[in-house]
Amino acid sequence: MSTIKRKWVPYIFLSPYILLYVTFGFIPILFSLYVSFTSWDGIKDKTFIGLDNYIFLFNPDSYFFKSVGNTLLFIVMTLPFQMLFGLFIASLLYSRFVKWKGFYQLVNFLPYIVTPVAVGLMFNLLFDWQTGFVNKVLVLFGWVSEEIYWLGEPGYARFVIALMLFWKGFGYTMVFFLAGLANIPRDLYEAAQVDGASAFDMFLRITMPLLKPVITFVLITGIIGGFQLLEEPMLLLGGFGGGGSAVIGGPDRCCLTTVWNMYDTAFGSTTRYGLGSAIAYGLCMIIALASVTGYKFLNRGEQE
Amino acid sequence: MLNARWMRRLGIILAFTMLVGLLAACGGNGDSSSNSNNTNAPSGGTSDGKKDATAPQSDEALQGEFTLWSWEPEHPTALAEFNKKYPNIKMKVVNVAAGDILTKLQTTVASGGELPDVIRIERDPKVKIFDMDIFENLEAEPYMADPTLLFDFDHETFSKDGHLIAIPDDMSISGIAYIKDLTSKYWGTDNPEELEAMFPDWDTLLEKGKEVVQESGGEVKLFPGLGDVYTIIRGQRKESFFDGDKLNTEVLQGIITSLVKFRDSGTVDKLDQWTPAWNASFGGSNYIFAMSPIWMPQYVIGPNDKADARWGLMVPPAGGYIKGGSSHAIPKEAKNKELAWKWIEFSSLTQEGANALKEDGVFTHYKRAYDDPTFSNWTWPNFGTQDIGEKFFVDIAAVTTDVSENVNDVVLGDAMNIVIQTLAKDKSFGVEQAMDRVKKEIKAKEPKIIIE
Repeated sequence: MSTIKRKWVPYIFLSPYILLYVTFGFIPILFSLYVSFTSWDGIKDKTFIGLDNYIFLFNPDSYFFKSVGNTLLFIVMTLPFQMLFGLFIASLLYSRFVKWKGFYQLVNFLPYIVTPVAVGLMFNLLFDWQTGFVNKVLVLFGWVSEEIYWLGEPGYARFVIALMLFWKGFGYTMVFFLAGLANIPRDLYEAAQVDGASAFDMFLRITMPLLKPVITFVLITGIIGGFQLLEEPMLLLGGFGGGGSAVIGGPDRCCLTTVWNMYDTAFGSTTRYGLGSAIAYGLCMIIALASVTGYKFLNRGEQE
Repeated sequence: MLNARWMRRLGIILAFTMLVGLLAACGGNGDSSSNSNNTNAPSGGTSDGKKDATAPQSDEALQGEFTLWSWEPEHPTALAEFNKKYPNIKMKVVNVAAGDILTKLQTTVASGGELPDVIRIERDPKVKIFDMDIFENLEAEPYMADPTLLFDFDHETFSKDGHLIAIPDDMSISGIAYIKDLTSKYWGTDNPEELEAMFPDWDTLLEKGKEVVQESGGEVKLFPGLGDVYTIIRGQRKESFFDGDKLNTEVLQGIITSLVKFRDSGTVDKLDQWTPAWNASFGGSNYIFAMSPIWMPQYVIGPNDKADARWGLMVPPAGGYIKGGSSHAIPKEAKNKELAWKWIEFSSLTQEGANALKEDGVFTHYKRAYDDPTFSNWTWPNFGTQDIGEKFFVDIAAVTTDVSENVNDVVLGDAMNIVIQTLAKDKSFGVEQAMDRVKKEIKAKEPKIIIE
């Protein structure tokens, strides 16, 4: 009897979290699944329309796949570089060549803790077509004959966003790689040195294999974070003057990410909660698929 | 054993207390909002605010508190005057950013939360908010608002189903401002009436503009961007873009054709509105004209141009237009409707309110106030001694119209933003392509819209 009672005690202590999760996580998830099968503007009655919202995602007029493609492009343009550069900086900081390690760790990590609003505003001012610092420098040194319309041309706008994400994100990967490096026993390197291994050999055959769990973690969280991209492009391209003349998704919708598309559909230029929910579920499926693929890719050797 | 049992009981009690605490914290309503504040609390006021909205009462007998959602403090002078007249009515302002009003309304209605007694609504999201069908008919009992007290162009704009559901607060009548040195240099005059006579229509202005561009070697143009041109000619249209869910393609095509004509004339630069470069352009001398709603001198030209008397104001070719402004509306579910109405009525539909608003730098939509010619007298340092109040309220108001909009205009507005951006950067992008692009965008966003 007493044992049975004792079994309930942990659940009672866990109940605040469980209750909060059910109230603010699980029920909304189920509710938005239901909403995704309806046509609803949040005010009038919901109309059940079956799979119409999901079918519309595959409609050529819909921006769903374009937004998924844009988001994937940003992930491909930034995540590998964030990881490579983060690993490079972490290796440098972990080596014996660098002094003031704490200072450099902080300097490299600082961009990550800058609020997205400030980042968007900062890059907007840097890359402004007429008053931006970047164009001023390029024109001053004669590298370009006239100012580049950074935020008005699809290619340039994507480049600016990728640069912004890279700048903001490499410090985050660096911190994880530093922690991973600290967990590799020094003995392995000493033994390798005794055996005459070069620094490159040690990096390739000791550091990289032992960093694999960290690499997997950074990759998976990077993919998930990448698919959730919203604030930075929205603040960079969405305008901050309040005039309502900014183009949603940037020039030619080239930077319309999936979450931005969902936000705009449900709360922006239209209030189609049903379609917005369907986009959210579509995004959820894609994140799950990408995460599993990334995980399988990294662990393919172990499975064999 | 006893200890263990007590410890278990204590644990259960603690966990239960935590649960209750958490749930209590999740509850609550707008009244406990941390970003709200009480304004001009008079003595003797009660907070329940429960009143019979139909029973006429004396000014002092009305007592209670009403809640207002707004992104800025209400007009201080007008509020002080209101509190003199109604000493027992309190206003509680809950700060909601202008861009968040729509979302906050949607979530509050969807969750069954408590709506405020009055909401300030900006023009841009107005059609979507009006479409929610949550506001009182202000022409019905107990409000009995008289539409003839407002300007004619207000009726369509602030009505739904043929009756007023919001009362406009600040004026949004608009003309065009010009840099006097530039008009003197290129056209020999900075007199607004002479310029108006010189440019009766846009085609004439465009022809003259081409000469200016040629003469200045491309240094001086008419407007900073196509967005400014669109704001003006869109506001001047005589018919709505939509008849229900049907797009009026003729009206749209006419406007796009004008935009292409402006673009091809080479008299318009490529600045996007509301960007730092656009703001900075008001301090320079590269663009002769600027769109100029009535709030522009105070909020845009003034802060960006420190020089006095450089600007003039004129009636645009083809007439005035409406841009911006805000209004007040009362939700059907509001608890203190009568108190909220008293504020709207006082501030927007009385001479006392009009005078007080003017002291706060706001011009009323209360038409009778302008019967007194001195009421509209208004000068602003950037415009020197020109009576821009008279220009706005006499000359421009006489040739200003407005058309009704519906929720589909928001979708079109977004599509037009992308069209304007593409027009500005791609000279091969013509009327046909622009129309196709608009149709494609509309189909992607709101398939129910009918395009023929």
